Amino acid sequence: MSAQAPNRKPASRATRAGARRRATKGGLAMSSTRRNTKNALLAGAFTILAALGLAACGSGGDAPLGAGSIAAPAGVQTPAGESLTGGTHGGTLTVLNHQDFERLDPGQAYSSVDYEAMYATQRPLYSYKPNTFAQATPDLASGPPQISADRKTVTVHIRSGVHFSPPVNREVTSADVAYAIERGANPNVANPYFSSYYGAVEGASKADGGPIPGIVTPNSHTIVFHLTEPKGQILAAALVLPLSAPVPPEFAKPLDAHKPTEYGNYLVATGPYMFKSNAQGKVLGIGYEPGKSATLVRNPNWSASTDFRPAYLNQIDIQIGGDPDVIGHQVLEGSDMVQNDEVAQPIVQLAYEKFRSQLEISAGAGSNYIAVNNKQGPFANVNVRKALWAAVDRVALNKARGGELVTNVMTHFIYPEIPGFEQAGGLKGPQVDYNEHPEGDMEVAAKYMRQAGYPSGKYTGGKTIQVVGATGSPNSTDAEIVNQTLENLGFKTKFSLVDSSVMYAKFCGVPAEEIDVCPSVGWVADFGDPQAVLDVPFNGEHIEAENNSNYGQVDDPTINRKMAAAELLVGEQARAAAWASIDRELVAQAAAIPMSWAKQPQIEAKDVAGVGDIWNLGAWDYSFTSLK
Amino acid sequence: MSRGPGSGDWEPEPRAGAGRDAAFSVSAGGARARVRGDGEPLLRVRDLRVGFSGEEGTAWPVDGVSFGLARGGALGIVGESGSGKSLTALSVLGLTRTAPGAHVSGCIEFEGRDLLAVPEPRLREIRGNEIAMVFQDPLSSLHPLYRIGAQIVEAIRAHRPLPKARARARAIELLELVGIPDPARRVDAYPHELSGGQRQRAMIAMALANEPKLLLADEPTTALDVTVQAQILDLLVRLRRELSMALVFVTHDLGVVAEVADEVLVMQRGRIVERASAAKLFDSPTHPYTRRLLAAMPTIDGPPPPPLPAKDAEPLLRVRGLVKHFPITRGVIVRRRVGAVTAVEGIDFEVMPGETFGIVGESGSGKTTTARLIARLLAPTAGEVSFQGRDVAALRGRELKALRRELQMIFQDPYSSLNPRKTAGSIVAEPLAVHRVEPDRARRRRAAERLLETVGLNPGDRNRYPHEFSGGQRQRIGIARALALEPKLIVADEPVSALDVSIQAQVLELLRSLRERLGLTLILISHDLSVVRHMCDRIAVMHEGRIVELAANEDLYGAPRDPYTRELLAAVPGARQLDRRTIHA
Amino acid sequence: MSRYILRRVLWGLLLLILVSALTFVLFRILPTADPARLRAGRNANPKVIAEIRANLGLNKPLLDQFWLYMKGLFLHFDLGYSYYSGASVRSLLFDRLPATLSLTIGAAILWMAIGLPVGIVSALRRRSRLDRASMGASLLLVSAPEYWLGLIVLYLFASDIGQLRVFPGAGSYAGLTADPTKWLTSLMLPWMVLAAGFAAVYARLMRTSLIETMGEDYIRTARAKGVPERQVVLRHGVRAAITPILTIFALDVGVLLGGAVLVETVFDIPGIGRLNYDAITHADFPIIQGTVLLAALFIIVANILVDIVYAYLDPRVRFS
Repeated sequence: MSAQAPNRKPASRATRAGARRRATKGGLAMSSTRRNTKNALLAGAFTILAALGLAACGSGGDAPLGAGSIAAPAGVQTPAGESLTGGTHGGTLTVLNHQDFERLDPGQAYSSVDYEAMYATQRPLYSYKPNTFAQATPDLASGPPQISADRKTVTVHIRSGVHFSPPVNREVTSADVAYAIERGANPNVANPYFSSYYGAVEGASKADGGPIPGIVTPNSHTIVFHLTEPKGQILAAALVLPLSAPVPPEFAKPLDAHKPTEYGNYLVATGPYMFKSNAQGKVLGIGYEPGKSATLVRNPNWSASTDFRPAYLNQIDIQIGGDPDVIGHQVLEGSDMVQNDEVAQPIVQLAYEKFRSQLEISAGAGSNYIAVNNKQGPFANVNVRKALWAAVDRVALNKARGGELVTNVMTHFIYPEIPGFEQAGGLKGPQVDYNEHPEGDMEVAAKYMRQAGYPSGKYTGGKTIQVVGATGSPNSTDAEIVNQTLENLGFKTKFSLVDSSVMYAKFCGVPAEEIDVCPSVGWVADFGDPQAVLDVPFNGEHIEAENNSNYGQVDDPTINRKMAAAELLVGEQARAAAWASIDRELVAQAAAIPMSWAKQPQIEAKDVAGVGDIWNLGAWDYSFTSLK
Repeated sequence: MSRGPGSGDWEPEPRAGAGRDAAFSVSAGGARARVRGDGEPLLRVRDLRVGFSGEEGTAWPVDGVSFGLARGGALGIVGESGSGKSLTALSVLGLTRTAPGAHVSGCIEFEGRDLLAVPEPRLREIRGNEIAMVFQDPLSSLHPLYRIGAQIVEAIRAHRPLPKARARARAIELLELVGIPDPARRVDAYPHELSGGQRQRAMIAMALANEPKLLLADEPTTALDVTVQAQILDLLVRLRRELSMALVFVTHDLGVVAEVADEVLVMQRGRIVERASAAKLFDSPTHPYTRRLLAAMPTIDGPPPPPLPAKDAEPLLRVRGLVKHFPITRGVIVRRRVGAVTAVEGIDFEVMPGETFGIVGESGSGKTTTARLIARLLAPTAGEVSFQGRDVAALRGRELKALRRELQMIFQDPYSSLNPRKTAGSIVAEPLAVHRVEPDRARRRRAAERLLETVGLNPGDRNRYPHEFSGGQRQRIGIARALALEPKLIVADEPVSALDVSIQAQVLELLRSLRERLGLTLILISHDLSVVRHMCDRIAVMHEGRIVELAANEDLYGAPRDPYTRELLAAVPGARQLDRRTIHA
Repeated sequence: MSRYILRRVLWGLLLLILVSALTFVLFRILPTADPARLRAGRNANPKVIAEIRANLGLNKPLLDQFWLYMKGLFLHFDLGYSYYSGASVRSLLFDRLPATLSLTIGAAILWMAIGLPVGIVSALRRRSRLDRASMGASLLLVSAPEYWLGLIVLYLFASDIGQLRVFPGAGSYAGLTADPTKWLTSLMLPWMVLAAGFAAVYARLMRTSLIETMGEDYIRTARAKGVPERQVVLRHGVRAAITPILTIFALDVGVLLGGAVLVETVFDIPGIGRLNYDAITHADFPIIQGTVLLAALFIIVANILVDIVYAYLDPRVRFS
């Protein structure tokens, strides 16, 4: 059961083709930024500047489906097309997921299935309405963040009247937000993105769960962040992630003392819904049975007047496990139910043919590509990389992933709905000869091989190259196709398929293994900013010894410099242009071999008015979905 | 034949003074059938034919058998394997007609009714009730998972609606009747917990449960030791008399039939070839087959083998103080030895070169263990086995292998001692290959052919597999294999026990001739005193692990000293009828 | 007899220790994912990963880890905590056990109730049309993959997505104490699917065993006694034929109690098999170890039971 993109984790925020252009800054006020060329240090992850008002960039093209379009075909829903108001109150929604939650602790949640529950039960400082990720809407915050001129101070005001769910019940204060963020550094909690986004806060590098000097709460409804570096806009942008959802210290501290923390088994909610719990607030075994089911009920202490969410449903019953095919049929033929995780391919076909109005397709669900080793081995030679690019049959690879309904042939690196997509070449991509024929062109490939120094047009070197792909369809099918292509180019391969997590953890994510080709890697950005798509996977500064996400070890000094500069730009237009140019450079260098742009399908029963979150792969949003 | 008042009602309490028989409530003055019976024949079989259709057409193992049996009479049916005698008995009970592909024709009249025309449910009422049967191997014929009491009770309650407690009491009575000691306890025993003789008694008890008018006994003593056999035969004779029961006794052993039957039928290939009273049959048999049978049968008064030329040589094999214990262990984690089963309790004997030495005994006497010890298939617990002056008990490895060239063994069961996946030729030649006597294949093959010829088989048959040979032929192959290495000593463990009388005679003849021709030294182990009489120069009698008597052939049979030896000899069936000379006490 | 049982139990314990050691070693040697990394998630700071690893005790020497685990297991019956969900393994196992028990026991009853009579009738009417039909059907059922059969059955008979809406479909399992009716109806289809292959096997086993038994001498004796044929078949034939079948039965049930993954997945039954499978995908060692131990325990117990039952059924077998 491997996902198309790695673990479908953080939400991508993609703007819809054709959406109205927002007048920049939306919810977050920005002071003018001074370009700081010396900056751009990312402590192990990428920075996000999404909140700078990213509007839709150009038209995505409403070409008919047959020609390969990003738009959804007629009759199929899209997140942007779903109405946020007018739903009927009441009823219980049944959700069938074959995948279980990974983490329910807001300090740990980091995948799209987790987010489905997170954003229904927790209120971070900022979050998104379903059909946009252009602007963040103040959630717990009462207004946009105030970032100082030197970008070293961020101030957020918290609204009043928001209460914790039972058994805590009391009103939320800024101290709760402070604790929520501070506990991210606690090794018992171990938030994965704390150091990336909050690493610049004073005292954060030494933090271990205790109070952080740089986080200050001058009064019960204000929180101030003091940073040591001018990365205020990054931190402000990061406040949409669940870590900033308030956690009551008096309730959570004893739980956080456990190794690992037990807070995830207890949980206190601030959102319209909460996990069913007992009088002590215990969720495990009551509102959540791992691998079996979860139940969300209304949070009695939630008040609609403090929230932008309508929260029509009375209860959400999540059933975990089962066979995706069976689930698909049950949802499509049933009533009051949805599936809220990866839909099996045959079900997508079935839905498209027979239940079209129950199908939603959300573009911008990430990309799948083939990483090739830019540092060692035959692929360190740019011409060999270009040859492989030319030789690979991308149409066949996409067919294995479900065809035109759920994929587009990938031709460059920024994916649809991300600003910069059109500037970087749009659907067709840069028209270089190795990119022009997505079905594969062995003549062009041979040409590049000859340029690489193999006069026969095929590889004649002695090295047996290592190819490591992921098991499970369609990854394994695509890996086989790539392997075959390599053999057609004259390579001898040592081909293995391993479990996806093993592939990342032990092979493709470890430079020392010197894997030559990784045909099953993918990327989903955390936010709808081109930096989030290109930076970590292709920046030479981000090559790690372990857990490396720059799978191809791409380390081009020119590209690195350009990225450092583009990072500091302000304004959507400028950023889009700068990163699009980097994208073209990556194409020119054939840094990786593109494969497929994913579009995420979701299904609902006929009597459900589902509203999908465009920023979470189109997953149904419990706070906006209603029953007809 | 009336059975007296109250015959349908068992009374567990004996009538005063009437002892065991009272349970049968036979009135003292009631009509009792005399041994020879008068009046209407109980059973009349007319032209019985039983055939089986198979892929190769229909075979008729019973091909026109007719006979009659008076009430209380005793009929013996004698024949070798394949003669159709068992099938005849089974057909009387109607047990053959439901077999797949069976055709039964003719007429079996029992008390006036044709059993072949009687429908199955009615027949079931007769089986076990008016006609009962006792089978050959009680271990396999009794259900292994039920207690014998329960099985007897089942026989009773199949025909009479008796409450369980009463039926059980009746079962105990029956066990006592057949002579099982401590019947109240034994009634709850499982078949495997009883000895062979007791099992057969139990079977007989089960057959008698409903006082049948006719008892069919199909080789009931064949699987038993000779002394036990004698007891069972006595029992049958006694019961027959006491219960006025007719008896049909099927056997291959002429001696046995002489003890039991008044009239004897000899069957060959499905037909009766001779019919006579017992005395007349043994005195003056008419049919050549009968004569051949009688001649082939070794008797204890038959001629012993010609005496050996005196040789003063060293004994080829010397056994001193041979002991073999099989340990019994107990213990949870670590096994401790808490006792032992003593198979051989210290025996001494010598075997001279060229002699045939016999070891005779019943089951459990230790003779087979001794054979194995000599052949070094087992290691002795104590004692010495010297072969050609060397102690072989301590040999291992290569030396042991070298020993095997000199010392070979012939096994009892020709059906299981030959590897079914090897051809006869390769079986015979294998020792040559293993001991590297003849590394050349072609020469080995010729040697195999020669060996097969020696034992009287067709050398061209060397490419056939064991299952294509008959039992006697297989035993010949076994002998040929033993001869392959031209050993000095051959140990033959019951070489003819599994064979029919006539085949037995041939194989014994072969061994005798080989002995003369090749100067073989032979140790012959058997339970059959007649065979040993026929073959051996000197004989040791074993009983419970010890040699109780060791004497030359003439001396042993003529003047046995040990009481056990005498008991053994007396128990040989047919001794009186077949032997004109009396046995010295 | 009691000494025999004691000895077997002690060996069983030793075996459990061995199995647990083997699982422990295997999961740390084979290239599975690092649970610390998995728990940390994508792009985690190496420092964070190191901290998680320390938390989970993964940085201690292997022997220490093993010793701690064994100590906890045998002294406190503490099977540890799931790396992933933070729930105690023991509670998870106990939570899932009823579903697996329901599934296994129900299927076992069903397959014996169907397989044995079919086998008996086939044995008695050898080569009849009935015999050929039932043996052919059994061959089919044995060959059918469980998963496939489950899907077919759902698409035919499930009340929500099937052609004939007869039984509740996947995911409708309810605990026995929670809703007895729903428990029963929701297990109908899973029982049928699980029992199908086994019933086929047992029918064939029974047939072969009975054919062999009916050829034995004591059957002839029983008939000669005049015992009614039905009694001959049942009390004499089947009684002897069933002994080897019961021993296999105990082993089959023992193995199934370790979790029938495929059926549990298709029908979405929250049993031990699925728990194990999910744990494997998450490299959640404590759960994996717990389920493996549980499965081993069931098999060992089944083995011991088999020996005892066999000795009880067949008095010729005596403990040495």
